[in-house]
Amino acid sequence: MDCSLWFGRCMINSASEITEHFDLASLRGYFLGGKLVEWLREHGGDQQAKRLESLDPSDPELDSRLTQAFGVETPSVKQVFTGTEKVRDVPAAGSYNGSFAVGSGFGYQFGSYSGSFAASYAGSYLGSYVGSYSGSYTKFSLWEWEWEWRFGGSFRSSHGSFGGSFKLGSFTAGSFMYGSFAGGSFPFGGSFPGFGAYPFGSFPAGYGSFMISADDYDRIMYECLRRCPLDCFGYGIHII
Amino acid sequence: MDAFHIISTAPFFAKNNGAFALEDFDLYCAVISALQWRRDGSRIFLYCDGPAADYIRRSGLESVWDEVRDTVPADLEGIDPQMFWAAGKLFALRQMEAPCVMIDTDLIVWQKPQFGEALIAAHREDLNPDIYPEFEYFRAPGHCIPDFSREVLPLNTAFLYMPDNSLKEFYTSQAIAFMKSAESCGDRLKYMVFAEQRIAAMCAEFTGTPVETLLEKEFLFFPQDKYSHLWGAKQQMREHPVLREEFIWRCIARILRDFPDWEWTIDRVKEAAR
Repeated sequence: MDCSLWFGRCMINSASEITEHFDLASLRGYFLGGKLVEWLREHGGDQQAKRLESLDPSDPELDSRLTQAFGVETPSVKQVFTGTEKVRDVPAAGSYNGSFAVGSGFGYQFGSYSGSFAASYAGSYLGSYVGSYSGSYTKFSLWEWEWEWRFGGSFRSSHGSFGGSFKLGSFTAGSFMYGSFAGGSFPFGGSFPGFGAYPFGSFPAGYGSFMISADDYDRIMYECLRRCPLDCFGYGIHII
Repeated sequence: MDAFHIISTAPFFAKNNGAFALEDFDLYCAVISALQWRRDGSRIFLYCDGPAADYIRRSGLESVWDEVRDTVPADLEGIDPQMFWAAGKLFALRQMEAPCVMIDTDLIVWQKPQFGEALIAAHREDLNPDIYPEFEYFRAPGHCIPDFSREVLPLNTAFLYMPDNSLKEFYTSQAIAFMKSAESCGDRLKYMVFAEQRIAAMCAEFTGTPVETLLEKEFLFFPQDKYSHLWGAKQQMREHPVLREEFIWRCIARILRDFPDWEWTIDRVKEAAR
């Protein structure tokens, strides 16, 4: 194993350094992680490796046995995983949009406004909870974003489970038509003031480096999501 | 740059008795993800357990990856597969030599970032207490962790570039140790994202490793042409056959256009997927 180990905030390169920078949390982590014995063998710790080999990871006295193996007294450790903190119930995995299949990440952060429109958005979790966050935004009381309203309420009714909610009146296979929107202030296919300089595919990466208005943000989102309905639930899917 | 995908069947078999199979959209996406990564000559491996390897080989799709490595423990070394449904990723990462990139099968990298000293993740997550509660929420009697910062924002690891073996070993050890020590409960979310996403960020901060992200979390849904991530769209496709069908057609068109030599994979995916 071509690596160093982290004990405390120190990087160590040999078994003898473990006692010097002893840290039970690191030692326990490396042991349960499963590679410590191999590392010790390759870094001058044959004796300790031999002692660790016989240890049972589920032994309730594991900590003291680990320290004994290195001839160190068991330090008192602050227990943090006590189960005493309570949180609100969140939906079980099945009702999340995020990724519960093999190899995916989690979560839905649509990034919401915090009130100032200078590219300073406070992240929020629109869509991650069953209704729990509806209406809690300060800026928009009914809909979080203009595009949310534009989508005919499908987001509003699905602030959370999203399941079964992607119903646009005019959505048909393979196309994404907005014929049902009353044009008025947001003419479909029209030009988007302030957005024209950033055509699709070439939007500058450094978003934080310029100012965008709430309207611009909405329009960009709208324009993006118009291209591919699945982009509401993942990102960049239209590229495929 | 070497990369790898992971397929672990343990979460599937914890809930199902039948034969393992990936869903069509997932398998198409995985194929495109692998082919796209290989386009510039980079290698991508598939880490999986025995049943997943059998499935991929039976499907005739193994050559989509440079190598199929069935070394992920099918039993996840005793870790609860329902609570920790992404534990296979940590085991695969533990085995892979850094520098390397771990990519979820539902993420496609159209344009690679610059790889250097910094760890690169897909994006940050907000520290929402309902999803990322305080440490004291978790029950793991006797388990302790280093003096990690509670403030650092979690990292979404749908894409994770590990710059060196020391950080990789530290992260995988801490994550696996937590998963092994956690008391079994019905939680399917908070424990998993703590182990996978929050510990990744905390380890990087603890070791002083700089962190970069593919996308800024506030702008995930802004127009860009570098990364595709199915993420919650998978659930949408399960619930809406029209969306699913459209997506499948899009994948087929992409394979035909960009990977004509791999056209044969289209039929194989159709046959193999559920």
